[in-house]
Amino acid sequence: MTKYRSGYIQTHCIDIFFDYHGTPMHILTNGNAIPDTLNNKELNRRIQSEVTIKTNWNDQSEYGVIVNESYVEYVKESIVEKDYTPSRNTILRLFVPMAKLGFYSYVCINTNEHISHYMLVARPSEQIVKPILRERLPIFDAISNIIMQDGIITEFQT
Amino acid sequence: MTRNRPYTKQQLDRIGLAYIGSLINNVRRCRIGQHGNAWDYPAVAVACSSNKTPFYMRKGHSCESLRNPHPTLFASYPSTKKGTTPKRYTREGHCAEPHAAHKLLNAMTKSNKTILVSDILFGKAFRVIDCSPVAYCSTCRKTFPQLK
Repeated sequence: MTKYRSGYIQTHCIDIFFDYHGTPMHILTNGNAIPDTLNNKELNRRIQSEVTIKTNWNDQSEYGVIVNESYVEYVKESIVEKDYTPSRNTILRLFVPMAKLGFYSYVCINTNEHISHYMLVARPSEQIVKPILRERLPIFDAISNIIMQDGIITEFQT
Repeated sequence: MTRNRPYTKQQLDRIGLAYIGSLINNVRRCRIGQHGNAWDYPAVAVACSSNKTPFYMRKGHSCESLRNPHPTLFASYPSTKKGTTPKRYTREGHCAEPHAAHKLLNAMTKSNKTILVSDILFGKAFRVIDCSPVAYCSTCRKTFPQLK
């Protein structure tokens, strides 16, 4: 099993996919640590490849997707120079396609030496759930400090 | 790319943002087996240019440390100057700025021109995943005094 090197992890946003108690999850590390159990480069790249092939990147609509508006606000509020505030489409472009494939899509928003804090960005709505690759996703349940709203995990830590 | 007048910071910002689009496309093409080895999105991207003729411009993104940084860049690293090693997460050569500067300095050397790191103009650094501007890190601010 090949692992990502620490220098690579710190300088890249890596798409990681896993199954948490039956929920297909996607996280973007944003340069933060990957839990050791999920640090499997070969498996992850196989999943990334399959996901990318199945994604329609030209479809920017949010049909079938529920966006966490708190995250959009969080990004916009964290920008000091308002001239450079990205559009809603830009903020969501890497997450909405994942939600359309059935993944609950999270991004790392805060970190310290050992703990990464993730926030929900987009998830599939009830009527469109196309869970792909579920049987091939690594199972991972070592998340903590879970915050839930209406039965949905909106924030967690690894 | 060469021109007869220097780039402005706003132009470099726009170039940096456009560069992010190409980085994302590269990742997608790589993952479907069409092109290259860019499997993951870099964290940050930036564009820089020379304040002196021939006004070259280069783009860079964060990646693992530069193996052979340009001598001018290496001489300006904080650890080279003070004999200290920066903290792990701001290690020299990890950020987008030294990568862009390294490419620019090499291009200038090929044109038989010499510039200092203080002659490099940087655009804003942008986070690749959402194109939001990010602050320059402490190591970059020590390496490139103009970023202070």
